[in-house]
Amino acid sequence: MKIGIVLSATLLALVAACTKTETLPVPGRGENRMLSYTITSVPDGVAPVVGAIDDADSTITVYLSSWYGLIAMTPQINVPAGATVSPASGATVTNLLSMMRKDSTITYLVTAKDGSKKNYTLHVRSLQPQTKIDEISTSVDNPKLVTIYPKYGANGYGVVALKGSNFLTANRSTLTRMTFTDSANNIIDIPYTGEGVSETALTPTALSYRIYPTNTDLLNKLVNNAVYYVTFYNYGEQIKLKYPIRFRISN
Amino acid sequence: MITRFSLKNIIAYSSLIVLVIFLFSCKKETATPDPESNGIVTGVYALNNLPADVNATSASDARILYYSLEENKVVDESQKYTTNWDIAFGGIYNSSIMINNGKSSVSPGYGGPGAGAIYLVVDRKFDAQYYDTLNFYVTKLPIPVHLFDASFNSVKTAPDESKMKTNTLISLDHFQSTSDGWAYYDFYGSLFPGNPKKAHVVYTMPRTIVIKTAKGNYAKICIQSIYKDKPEDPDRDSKPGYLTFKYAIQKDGSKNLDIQP
Repeated sequence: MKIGIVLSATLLALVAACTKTETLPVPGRGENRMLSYTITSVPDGVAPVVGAIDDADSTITVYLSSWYGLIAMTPQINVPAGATVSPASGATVTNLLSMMRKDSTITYLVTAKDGSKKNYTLHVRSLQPQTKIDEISTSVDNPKLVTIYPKYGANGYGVVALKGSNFLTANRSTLTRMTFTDSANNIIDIPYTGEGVSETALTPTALSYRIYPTNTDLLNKLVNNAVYYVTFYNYGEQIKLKYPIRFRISN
Repeated sequence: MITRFSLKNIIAYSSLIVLVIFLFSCKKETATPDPESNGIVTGVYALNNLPADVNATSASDARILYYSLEENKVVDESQKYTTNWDIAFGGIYNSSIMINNGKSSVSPGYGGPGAGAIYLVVDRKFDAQYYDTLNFYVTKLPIPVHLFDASFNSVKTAPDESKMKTNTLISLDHFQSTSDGWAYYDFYGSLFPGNPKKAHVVYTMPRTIVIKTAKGNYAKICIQSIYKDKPEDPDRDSKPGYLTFKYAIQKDGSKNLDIQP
């Protein structure tokens, strides 16, 4: 019995000793590291958003809720004493939408006291329920007509109506975007002009963009009878419809 | 001997060092101008016919005008995510007064570094001179001009921090809302029945607004007119989009707004 206890104790000690020897030394802290990346420009009463810094990948990843509706953010960046960061802490990132839609990126450069440098690439991702859109047309060969009537002036607008789920209802003019892509891959922006109801009456299941005959800038870019593929951007998400529409100017 | 000599030396050298530091510190103080000030000091400033969106229509929001109270100048929209502006005029006919606050989703500076706030001073006893304080409409037109200065001068200090609002804008008085505003909008022309030229007219009220600038200083502003040449009795022929206002700014960071011109 006694021997058993002694043996067990020895075994335990050995196991503990084994665990101890497996502990790896902590790697030295680089003086060119980014220590923290925090966004305080969020609505009052909401906790600051903390970016995830990955030293191995040299990335910073920030997740932003679509509920905040931010299109810009001001990060507070910490670096070790004596180090500098560029763009600087407190410099506003103004192109969040294009960053979330992966059209652009920002790289931060941390320079340590000793001159050593490290780059970090910023990734901004939106946190939002997945946007779903029903196809407007039934097939490639049967594009739905979107017709404008210049003879009725501002009342003769054509409508691109989307049905689906999780469309943002607040601030659509800023947080959503619609484009037409033609057969030569030219991209034409369709401005959001409101939907004829107050913003509080908008629903997450329907959304429409209007093409006004009075918008001559836009009409100069669109071709009568041409076929266009609709892409819709709902805050950070981007959906390109499979089947095109046909744009028509009525006599 | 050696010890005494080095002690003397130490005293002499340290005196010299102190003197040099002193000289340098003096030099620094006099040679560094404040790049922020732009010559604008604590005081009262008046603007006449500042053009906002003079082509605005009632169909959509006007182009936003950004203004720096700290520097008394118009700021370009490209700087909306900086602390270079303090107040913005947007919405229908530039009638919404917005502040620069990065935490406020109704501020054009949302997401930016601004830390501004706003407070509309409403004094019902004072209002009774020109306004029905129970049914919220103007009773005396034209509103006596001297009331604007009276309102402005009566605001002598900024309110408690807790009263300063960050997530709001100040707009038309009780128009499609239950909020007090800085101007009465007679949408139907109900103050002048039968006179079509008196519908859709904005009557600026003598109400002073306290603003905390993007950098944290306090200011007060009283808008006198949004029409060109501030007509006493505006109608539909008056040209909107031209702001006439008076403001005072306190540059020492205190809440003292008892500022004389």
